[in-house]
Amino acid sequence: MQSERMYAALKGLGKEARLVMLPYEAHGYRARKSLLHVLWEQE
Amino acid sequence: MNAFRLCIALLCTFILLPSSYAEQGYQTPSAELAALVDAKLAPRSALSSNGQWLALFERKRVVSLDELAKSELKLAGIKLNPVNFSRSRVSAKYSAIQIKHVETGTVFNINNLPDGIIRSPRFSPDSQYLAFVVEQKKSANLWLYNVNTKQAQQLSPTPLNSVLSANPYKWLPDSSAIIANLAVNINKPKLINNSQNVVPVIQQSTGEKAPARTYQNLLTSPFDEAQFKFYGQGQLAFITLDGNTQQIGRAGLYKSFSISPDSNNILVATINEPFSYQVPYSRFATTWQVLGMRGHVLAQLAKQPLGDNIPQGYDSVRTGARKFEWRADKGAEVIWAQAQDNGDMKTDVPYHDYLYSLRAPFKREPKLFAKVERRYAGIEWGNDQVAMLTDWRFSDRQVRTFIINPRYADKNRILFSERSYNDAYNNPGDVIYERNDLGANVIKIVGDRYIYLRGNGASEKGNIPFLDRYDVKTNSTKRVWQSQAPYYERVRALLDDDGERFITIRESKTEQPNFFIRDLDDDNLTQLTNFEHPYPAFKGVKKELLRYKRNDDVELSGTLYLPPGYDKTQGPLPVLMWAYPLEYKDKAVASQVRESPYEFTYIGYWGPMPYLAKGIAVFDDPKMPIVGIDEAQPNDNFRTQLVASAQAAVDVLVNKGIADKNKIAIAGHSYGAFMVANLLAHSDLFKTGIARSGAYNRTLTPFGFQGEERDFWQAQDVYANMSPFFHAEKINEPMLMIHGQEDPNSGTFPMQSERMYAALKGLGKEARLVMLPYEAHGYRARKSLLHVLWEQEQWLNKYLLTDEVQAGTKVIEAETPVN
Repeated sequence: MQSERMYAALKGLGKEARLVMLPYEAHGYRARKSLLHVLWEQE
Repeated sequence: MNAFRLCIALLCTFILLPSSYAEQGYQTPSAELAALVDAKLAPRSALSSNGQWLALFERKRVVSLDELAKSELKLAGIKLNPVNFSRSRVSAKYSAIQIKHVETGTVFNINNLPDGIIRSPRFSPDSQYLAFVVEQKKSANLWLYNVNTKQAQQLSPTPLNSVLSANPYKWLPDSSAIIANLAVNINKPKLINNSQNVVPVIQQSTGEKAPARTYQNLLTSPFDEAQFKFYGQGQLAFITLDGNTQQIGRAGLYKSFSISPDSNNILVATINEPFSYQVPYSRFATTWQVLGMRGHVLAQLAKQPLGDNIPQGYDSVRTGARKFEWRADKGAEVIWAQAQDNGDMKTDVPYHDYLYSLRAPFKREPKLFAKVERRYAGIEWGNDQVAMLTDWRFSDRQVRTFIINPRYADKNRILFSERSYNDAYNNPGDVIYERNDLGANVIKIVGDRYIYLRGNGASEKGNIPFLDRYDVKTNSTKRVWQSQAPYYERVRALLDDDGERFITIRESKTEQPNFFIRDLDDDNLTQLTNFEHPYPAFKGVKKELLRYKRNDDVELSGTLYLPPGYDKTQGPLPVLMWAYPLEYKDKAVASQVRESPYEFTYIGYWGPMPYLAKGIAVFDDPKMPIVGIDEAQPNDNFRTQLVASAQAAVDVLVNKGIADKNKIAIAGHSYGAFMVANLLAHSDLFKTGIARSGAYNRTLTPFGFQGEERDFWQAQDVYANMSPFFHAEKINEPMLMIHGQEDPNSGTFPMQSERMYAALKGLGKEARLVMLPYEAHGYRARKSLLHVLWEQEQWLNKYLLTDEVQAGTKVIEAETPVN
């Protein structure tokens, strides 16, 4: 919820932001698909 | 050493055993309280437009837990039943229909309905039929009752879709047929989400301000989007009175549809992609069109984009065309509004809205119909010479209504009413409507000049309902009739053109509401219905409206109820106060009385009233006005004003000898619960508090809440001062919190109570948290309601009615009743 609310705040205030929520992932990301996607987002 | 410490630890555990309630699961309160949940209240009613038939609908107020536990999907702000394509948790639902003939009083029951819930009843404009929806387990279908044959039957076997269009059918004004929205996907296999379909959920904001209230139940994934399309997909159909069904146009996401007065055209709104994860469906991109009865597109009026960047402010609106509707006084003319201020009232422009019109056959350019100085609030249509146009703004809460001539809508406007929308004393009342020759609902105008208004008649002496006649030609109003003490009687419908014969609902403190026909000419009153007293055990309750002042001279009022059989010689009583703070921009308006001393004494299961049965006095709705004058915003002084209002309420009761100042409990629901936590933190007026479905941390509603328009970053101090969560360490009295586990209300997520409880527990305060499975903001299941009554009864027994306080005992627990 921390990221969802922070994103909602930034969007509401007219800031530039992007939020990516990874299905099934906990605090450290484990799935091959998720890790590849995170690398892509950051790239 | 260790063994010694272990011994001490064990010993301490023994001594500090919490004196919690041992019971598990759903409980039931004492019998008189339990009976209130099942009490039968007066039915809802509808009068046919010719005044001949009064339909009475028995309300189904309470449901079984099973009904709430049914599978429910939450999509884009809608809660729906995926089995029968209806909205779940509709509040207006009925279990039986009775039709009464007004002149003779004869009653006809509709006996052949299947097991299910009755919804959306509507008389046909010509008064010959009553249509309604019967919702059953697998589908919701349209039924028709014929007032002449007294027979009811299912009109169409095809299930209706209420997912997007909450009202799934409309009568043609000429009463010849019904247009309905059908559930096209109801027999298709349901969509399945598996991890093959799962994708990261991505949102991006580009730098345009887009504040959104904290809506719940929004779309959260591409699978949600697919579900939204599946359940929202509808098909309009033309159904004649013999059940013949013809499809109109193509299937689509129909959000709304309305029929022109000449019964030839349909104004239709369909939802388009892209959908949004930030706002509910009502703000999704929408196409507005006019269709002919066979479905061909006669006009495309607008393609509204997604409404996720509407400026902050209660009177802010989207840019572009909006508020489409048919003029009621013409055969087929569409009217809409367009903001001239970028949707923001703070922009300085001479006119904030323009109104446009487009008439059948919709081939010409739209015409500018009227210029509206402030924010457009709507038009009420009468005939081609008289209509009423309203504008408003939030900054000073002012609302104005003008009488206009629709032929020259900008010229010669007469100011009919101008006041704060919170000003009850100057409310002119509601205009009375009738069906015109086309079957459309228009302002009833008699002899081209008289308009009738019925209102609550709020005044210093309380509400005294009235019937007024306004003369357009002289711009003057005459009081035709007013309710007389000791009764509280209000106009339900006119039966003639002169305002001499009308249907009323009349009640007194001890007589429950019933329908009457009042005839001013013959000076008589005929009783139409004879409903039974819903709770005879509470007949002896006495009620009194108390008026008192706050330390800053704002005048306050509240209603005091005394238990049956109480008299002053018995000394002071424990008191339960139940309240809800409201914001105002004006002291005088904040001081207004808003009820009648003659209203029937309702003993609802919802509020404080049941506890009269325990010998507790109830002080109901002591006003807690939060006022901000001129530049000041009401919430700038929220805490001071709240505590001052509570102090004044306590003082008046103590001074009257009714209350013992050490035995007063405070309770409330929603913003009332928020109030309870604030009062316990910032005053020592109360022995204990009960807070239901509240919000305690305002940073979780950062883009405004209740009457507060400013966002968190503009008013951090205010948000912090007003959040009892930030002051939990100051709460020194025990507090009971109750919350529905499925609460979708934009401010009061379940998490609010869970986190507040965790704070109080962590700080070593006395608190109890009860989370109700399946319940939303208002609790509906019989089991839940009985349990809530029990929880409150136990709490009040322990903290208000018992004198002993066990030293060193803390009651700290959370419980979720298990079915």
